[in-house]
Amino acid sequence: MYKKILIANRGEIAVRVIRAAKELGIKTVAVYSDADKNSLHVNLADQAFNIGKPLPNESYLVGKRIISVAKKAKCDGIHPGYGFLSENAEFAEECIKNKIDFIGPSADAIRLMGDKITSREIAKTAKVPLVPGTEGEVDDDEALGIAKKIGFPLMIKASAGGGGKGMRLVHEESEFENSLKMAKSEAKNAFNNDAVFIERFIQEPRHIEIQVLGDKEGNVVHLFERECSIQRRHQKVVEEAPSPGVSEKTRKKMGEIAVKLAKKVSYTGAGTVEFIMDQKENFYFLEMNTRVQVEHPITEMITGIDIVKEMIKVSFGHKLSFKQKDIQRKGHAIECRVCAEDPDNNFLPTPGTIFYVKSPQGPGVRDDSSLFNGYEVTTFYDPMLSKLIVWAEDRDSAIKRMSRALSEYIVLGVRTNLGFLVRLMDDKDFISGKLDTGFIEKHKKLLKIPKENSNIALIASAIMLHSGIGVENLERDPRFTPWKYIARRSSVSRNSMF
Amino acid sequence: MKYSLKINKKIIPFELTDKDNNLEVIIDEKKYSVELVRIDSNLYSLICDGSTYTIAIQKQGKEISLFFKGDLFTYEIPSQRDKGGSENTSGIDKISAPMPGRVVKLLKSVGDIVTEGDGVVVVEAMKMESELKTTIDGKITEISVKEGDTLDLGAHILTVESQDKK
Repeated sequence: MYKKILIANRGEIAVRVIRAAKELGIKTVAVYSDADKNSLHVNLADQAFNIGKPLPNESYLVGKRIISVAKKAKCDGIHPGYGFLSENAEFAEECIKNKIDFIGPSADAIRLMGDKITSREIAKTAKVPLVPGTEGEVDDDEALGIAKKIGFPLMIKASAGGGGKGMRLVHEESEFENSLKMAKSEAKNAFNNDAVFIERFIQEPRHIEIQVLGDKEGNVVHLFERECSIQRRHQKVVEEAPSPGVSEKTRKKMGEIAVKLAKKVSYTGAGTVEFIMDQKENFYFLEMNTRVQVEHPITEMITGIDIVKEMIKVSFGHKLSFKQKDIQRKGHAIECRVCAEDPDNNFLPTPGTIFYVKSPQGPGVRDDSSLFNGYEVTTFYDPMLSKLIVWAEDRDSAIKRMSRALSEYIVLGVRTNLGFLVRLMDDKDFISGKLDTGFIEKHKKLLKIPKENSNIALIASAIMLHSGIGVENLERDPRFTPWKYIARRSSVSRNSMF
Repeated sequence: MKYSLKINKKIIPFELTDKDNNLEVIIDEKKYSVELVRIDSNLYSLICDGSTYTIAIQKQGKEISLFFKGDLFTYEIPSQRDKGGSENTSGIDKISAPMPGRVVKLLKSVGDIVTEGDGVVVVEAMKMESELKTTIDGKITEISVKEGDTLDLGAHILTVESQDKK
């Protein structure tokens, strides 16, 4: 097995990979930007190296610097996590050139499946169903003509894109030119490539994806589907496995197609084949993500397979330790992404300091987080703070468990989407399982804070203001000096001792 | 005793009576029997008309932040000036940065006529681009940034002035 690996990422996924490596007896090396020196991943790793300024293209995206750290620290592998360099074929190649394993698929597989246009071509040859759209990127002057042919509503998408960046939904012709400009500008900024393509927009679509795992001997298996239809800004917020909208027959068919596609590019490691599915279970290939997904834990919960550990093992050259027929699913898992953003203000990110965090506990609850008291939410990185995951025997129990866990979650300091998630778990349409990617748009009342909650908060502030509890600095409050508090506690424990 | 708190520029008055440690809060003519007990550094248990609620509270300067049922509430302790009445800003829309970020594109120039809902500037923060819109009809009278500039929270971007303003 590897002796030491470098984790070329930050936040919860860096923590997740460090935990997997530790459990496999592998030493870990963290890298961090100036903004992250106090981060949890830095704390948990055996070694940590600063790789530059906060902006990603001055630290986490500088492949050369990361590889030189890996060499200096004598690492034999690099795990890229998700985002940043995880789907960068040149980086994967550079790692190999420097005799360090890139823990992920081959550079060729990334290149083939990472580009949305090439991946469509491959999908076509593998007879994977495709959404009608342009065969390649479109020129500005012919774009409108093509758009009219495909028909509205349609989607403009960045060729090099992912995570909703450089993506625009266009309802009618009059919006087209402006949306095209915005999508291209966003794509240029995010990926340094403004190429876009156009495709038909499926009404009330569900986002269903299949997790695949492959080894270097050509074995590929799938770990069933995940439903990721609850999205805002075309980015996932809540995911669940299995999907309440996929029948056993469709599940089998989707899984087989995903495996076929992965085999076509000799896929190794963890990957995800994403589909868009209409309410009649017609599904079309969207794209393949050639990395570990944010939402991988829900698949881990229903299959009992540790995806990150498997990635590391197959990258080292181990054969997959199970065959398709060995993989069973059990129960239901849900993940909520806890983000620093304001649901009532277009989900705009809310940077600031988190004074106080309390994570939920209890049966069936897992919190993949990198939060701690004093955590700074900066504008440099994604606003996701943690992933709350629950498992239970069936969907109804999982929703109730998630609701219970969310009610225990406290994040004080910046506005988050927790309140929205709490209300979502209580929503009868969500509970009924009839989901589509426009769910949030159709349930805007969930974004608003209920009046009775505002009242309770106001009453508590009123008492604070009146009694002075916490209104003055704690040290100056005669009733609550830390010294008195400690003294009271120690006297209590002394009493109990004798 | 009479108090007030400010939320989103709105002053909320309330009354509080404290007799023999029995607290009562009156808001909007409704009376609540309450008690607040501290359980941890930032954690409090509120008992309101017999129901209990766990609330996290932090005070910073003149601001009280509360976390309750997943949402964050921020109240400001009003200054004397606030109590005197609110300033008149009608006819002027000062657009400022909703968060630290970067100016991607200015969609208008000084002198341009705009109508309510028009996008005036594209800003980027946390890898996300958004268009800021004007809330009034009028003319762009001032732009204090250029494309590519970084923006601090609350930094002034541009001003729209209503034309029928005297």
